[in-house]
Amino acid sequence: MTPRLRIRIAPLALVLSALLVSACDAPTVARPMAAYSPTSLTNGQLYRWSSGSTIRVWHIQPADSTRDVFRATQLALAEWNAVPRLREYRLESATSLERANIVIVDRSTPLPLAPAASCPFDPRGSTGYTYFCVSGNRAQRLQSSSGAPTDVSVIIRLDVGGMASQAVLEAVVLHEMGHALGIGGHSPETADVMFGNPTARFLSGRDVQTLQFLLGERPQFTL
Amino acid sequence: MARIRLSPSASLSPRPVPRTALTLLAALIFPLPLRAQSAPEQLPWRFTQVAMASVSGTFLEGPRIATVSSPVGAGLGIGLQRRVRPRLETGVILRALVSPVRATEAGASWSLGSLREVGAVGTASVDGYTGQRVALRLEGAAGIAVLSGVDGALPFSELAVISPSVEAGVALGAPPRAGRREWWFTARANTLRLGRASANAGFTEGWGSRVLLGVRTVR
Repeated sequence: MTPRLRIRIAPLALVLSALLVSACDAPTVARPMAAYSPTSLTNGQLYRWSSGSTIRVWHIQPADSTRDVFRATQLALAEWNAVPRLREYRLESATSLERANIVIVDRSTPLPLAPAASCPFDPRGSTGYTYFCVSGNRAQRLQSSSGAPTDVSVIIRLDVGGMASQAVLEAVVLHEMGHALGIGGHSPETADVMFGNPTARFLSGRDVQTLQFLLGERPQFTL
Repeated sequence: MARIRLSPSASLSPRPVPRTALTLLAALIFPLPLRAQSAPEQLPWRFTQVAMASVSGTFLEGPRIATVSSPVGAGLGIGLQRRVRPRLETGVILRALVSPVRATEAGASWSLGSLREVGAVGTASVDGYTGQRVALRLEGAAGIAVLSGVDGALPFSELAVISPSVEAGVALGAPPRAGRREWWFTARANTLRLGRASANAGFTEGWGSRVLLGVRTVR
């Protein structure tokens, strides 16, 4: 082979390399469609946490209750942490109220945070209530009751005393955590955690599908 | 006096160089006239070390979903290589790479952790051009890799244990001279087969592609 011919092999190798890369498609995955509306309670406004967020959850155990809020919170974290496929969020327990992003508190406990002045805190006697206040395209960070700044933007208020059993508490915490993650709607199916009067203690495929759908959508505001 | 008896099939001529799978692979990748040599020079195995950077790795993409990629990574490898034809060298390299992996979607990017990769590749290198000051080689490699470290995100969370890999590219360096250490700059297109651990894994199989840039020394 002449030197001239050998030189021509270089472009051949480059072409071969380019073909090797371009002909090999990367793995693909598609977002599912929502199984039920994730915005029926928010007038079509889609919200969620910024992608890649670590969301810290702080709970306050009511002093006079035998119900275990800690256990209910841990079960909810484990269930919802199994949903993201690209680590769009990660739920974990907070080490203090000030460093938390979500606070779970019973109605018998004085609220440790000051709700935003522009958004009334209005549980209306419900067993579970998720509160946040949007300003612009982001939920406001709330102040502690003493006026100190915190990272908290979501309050989950429970009526633990009105719950018939630990199972009901776990179903309600799981449900409210779904709202806190971005599901702003209720499912018409009783087997779904996001059914309006929740009894399910494990996420259904429809719950997973709905949250995975909105994790791929561009939100109107973030929490 | 001891006498040696030779079986009819035995021969006192030098043993032919074994035709390894790597040699065949090289012949397939590079359509060069690898003419049979009557008496190939028996050169020893040589020790090789490589430092490399991976660039522009893409591992997952799809409609309405973040792209999983690794803009840059780094790795080291050691191995042995040997000239088995006048213009062909084959070898084996054990290597390890670490690549930070990120997910990117419109307006947002977040870390998925560091991808750790350990693997072995068989290599074939053909002399393409040898001048007074510079030499060019065409290179190919095939092997396997084990990926770990990114457990919370597709495709790595549901990936088969072993990922086959294939690569092709060029090496540029000074012409080899007897007794002197060789230095080569290499650029290879690399693809990793990203297969599913089970049939119901949540992604469609494909190839993770990237460019491997390296500096290799041989002595």
